Amino acid sequence: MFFFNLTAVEFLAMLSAISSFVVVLYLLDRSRRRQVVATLRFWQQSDLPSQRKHRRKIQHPLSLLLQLIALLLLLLAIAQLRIGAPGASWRDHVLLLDASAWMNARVPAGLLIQETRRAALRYIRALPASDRVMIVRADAISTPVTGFESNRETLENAIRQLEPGVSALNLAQAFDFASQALRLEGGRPGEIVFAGAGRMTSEAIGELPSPPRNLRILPVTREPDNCGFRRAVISRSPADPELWQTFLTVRNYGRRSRSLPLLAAFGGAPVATRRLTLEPGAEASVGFEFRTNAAGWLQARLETGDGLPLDDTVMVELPAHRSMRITVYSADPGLLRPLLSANARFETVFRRPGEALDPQAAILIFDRSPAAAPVSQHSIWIDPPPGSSPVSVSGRKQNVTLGWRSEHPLATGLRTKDARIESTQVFASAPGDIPIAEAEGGPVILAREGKAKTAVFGFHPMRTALRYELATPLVFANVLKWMSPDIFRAVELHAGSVGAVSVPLEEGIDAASVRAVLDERFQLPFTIRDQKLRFFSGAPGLVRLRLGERDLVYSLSLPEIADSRWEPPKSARSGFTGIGGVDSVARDLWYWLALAGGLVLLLEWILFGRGTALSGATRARIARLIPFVRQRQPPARRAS
Amino acid sequence: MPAPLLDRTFLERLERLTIHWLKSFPGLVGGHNTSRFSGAGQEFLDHRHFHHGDDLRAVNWRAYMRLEKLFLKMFQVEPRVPVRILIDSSASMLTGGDASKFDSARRLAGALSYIGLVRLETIALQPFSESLWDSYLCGGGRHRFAPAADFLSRLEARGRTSFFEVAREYASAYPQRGLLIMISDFLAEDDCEKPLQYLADIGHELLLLHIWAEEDRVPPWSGELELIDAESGARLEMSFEDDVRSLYTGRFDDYARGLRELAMRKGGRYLGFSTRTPVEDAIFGPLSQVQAVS
Repeated sequence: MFFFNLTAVEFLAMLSAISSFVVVLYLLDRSRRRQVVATLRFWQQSDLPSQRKHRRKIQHPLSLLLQLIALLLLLLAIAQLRIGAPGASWRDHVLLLDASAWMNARVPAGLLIQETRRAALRYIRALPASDRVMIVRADAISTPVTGFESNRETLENAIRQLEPGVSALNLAQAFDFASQALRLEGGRPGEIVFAGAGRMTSEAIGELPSPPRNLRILPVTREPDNCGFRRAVISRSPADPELWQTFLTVRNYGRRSRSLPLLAAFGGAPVATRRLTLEPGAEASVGFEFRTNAAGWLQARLETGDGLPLDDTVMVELPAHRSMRITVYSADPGLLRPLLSANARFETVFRRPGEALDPQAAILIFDRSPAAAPVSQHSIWIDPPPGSSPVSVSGRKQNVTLGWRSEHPLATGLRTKDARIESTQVFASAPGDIPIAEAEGGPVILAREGKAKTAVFGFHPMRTALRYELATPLVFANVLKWMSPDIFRAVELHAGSVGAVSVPLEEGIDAASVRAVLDERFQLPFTIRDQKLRFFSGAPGLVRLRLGERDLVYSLSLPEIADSRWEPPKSARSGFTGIGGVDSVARDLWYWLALAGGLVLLLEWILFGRGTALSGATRARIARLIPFVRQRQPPARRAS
Repeated sequence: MPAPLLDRTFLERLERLTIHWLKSFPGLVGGHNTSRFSGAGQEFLDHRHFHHGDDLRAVNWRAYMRLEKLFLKMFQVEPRVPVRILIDSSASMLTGGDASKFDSARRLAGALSYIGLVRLETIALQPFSESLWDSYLCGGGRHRFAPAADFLSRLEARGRTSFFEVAREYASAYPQRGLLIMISDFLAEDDCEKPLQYLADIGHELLLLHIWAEEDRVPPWSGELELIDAESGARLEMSFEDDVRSLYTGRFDDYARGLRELAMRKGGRYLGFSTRTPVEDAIFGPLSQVQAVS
């Protein structure tokens, strides 16, 4: 037996002090009260009892005794008297509830999360009433749902309201969080309890440190069969922008072989059907192509009929195909046609020199011809006639050697060896102009920034020896990309699961230019390490990565289903055995003590209370039922 | 400004009431019957021949001018039953907590005075304790009520009650018999029955209005008490518990019953009520039921 809040000495001291106070109050209460009355005529009647001689004498010892007993019982209740050893007092526990995507799975008895809730509720109810519990939602990120709480109703409500998420379980983080919570905030450390299926990725299981010693497992052992998509990659064919190449990865999480039909549809129209045969634990990839230039939703569906339908469907929104219109004003279109038709993103239109400007064109190319009107679009001028050049011409040079200014991105990759130009115009560059190629006397290919970008060639590359050089299509490609960079950007669509995503990066990617945007609105934090970009999204959404000339769009709509099951160590306690052992050793008595104290006070009030509603006869009858109640002595009378 | 003794609404309700007495007093016309005798009064009764020694002010000079004979106007005698209200102003009237008996007594005396003034009665307000105090005589109509109310408001309760002395002084001060309304708690060291019996025996009609406080009848205290008499200052120490309370109340009720029997035996009336009973309810309740006012 021990006092939870007080030591025995403190308890006795407090009991003595309060008992003395009560006795004094009792005697004061029994002291004589002075009262002015209209007359003493009726008080002095001979048949009325009168005063007692010793007014400080305890006149109702049973009343005082009952009050002291009630005081003792209530004080013991406040001190939370317990039967048991002092070590068996209240403790703090952390209850980790598995809220991973796997808990959405359905088994014959219901959802796995429901089974987890039942186990958690049973554990809470088995704990001693004074123990405090912190409920933690454990998935990819451990989140406390309550603080250390002893109110069972609050805890049970928190458990009932817990819903599974879409990410995988990260037990290492959950155990670390629980240990820190017990160390930093908890009182007397209790158990770290994990309730759930414990499905994690193989990597997470491999990285899991040794679990805490005070671990208890409330296992959810039912394993539903499940097959589902793990990821999908959709990209345009480099040769044909209207052709989409699709790769789907499917995994069998169950323990038996499955043969599944797969149906893919774009905008509701089927584009591919496959039948997959998957061994237990095996993954399979499916690839197919389909052609469209329209935007729409690509949906792939597995007809599994398993317990987890979340990963049976994957949907990706495909953008529409965009092309850029280039209008060429040339008397000899055959020179530039092979150059411009090589890229399917270009829609090239040839017109004769002097024709009206094409307002729908993004870029105008003037091949040795003047413009019919002032140009407001991007423009490329090739060997412009005298007086029509957009930049100043300093003269014409014959038989010059060409040199490239490779320090500028516009001249990236341009290499020629002793390239000689028979005749070329030499330009006078202005501040801000970008020389791409130079010869003796000045630049011969010049670019100028502005709202409408301009590039001027002093010679026609296809009419010189450069037409056999790789530098000729490259310089045109560089100029066109400089003028309209978006048209050259490659888009790759991925459908994956929420959680941590790792993207391999190409070499030479400038980390400062990388952007990750969630749902077209929020900047998403990411890290780049070892040529891999990593980001985390705990909720489904659309993440767009801008990696140089490549756009990666991640549609994080699939749940993150872990592929392995964590096997807890044998040293960990499992199930519900031993939970109530603490309670059996140290049993709370305070409520019985409080009830007994209240009953004693009620009895005292019935027998001796002034304000009782019971009549004197009733109280006398009650008093007669108790043989040790002393009958009141008839007082003697004394008049002053 | 102190609150008025009686509010206007209550006074308006009192205007339709009249004080009634039961006896026919010697030398006066009793009750409310019109007198058949001539005398000093306001209402004309008859003429007679003038005789030597008659009051010249009653001569009908118009008839003399016309007939050259002296005729004397005779007037109807008005019943003048003296109504005297004795107000107990002893210290015991101040006991009883917030609603003291003295306040109830003053309000009750004021209400009865107003009723009498409206009916052109002559009312004597006579406070007393050990002896009779200075009285106030009011009459002549409702417009004379304000001084009477001031007199009552200025009264202060003090001293001890001596009914023997009061009865003796009353008998000598008011030889003319009349209605004696005594408003008191009738609590004094000496006995009050014999003095009241004496006053009734000499011809006064008694209307005893017994006012008590709740704690006078049912003491709310219990335990060890040191009781102090409000008038004499005598002390009594005693233990008072719930089972004794009923004995005390029985004693009080016996005392009140004795007063009632005395009044009934002597042709008077007795009314008792606690300070919790509003004066309005007392006037229109018990006082109306016993035909003291109606």
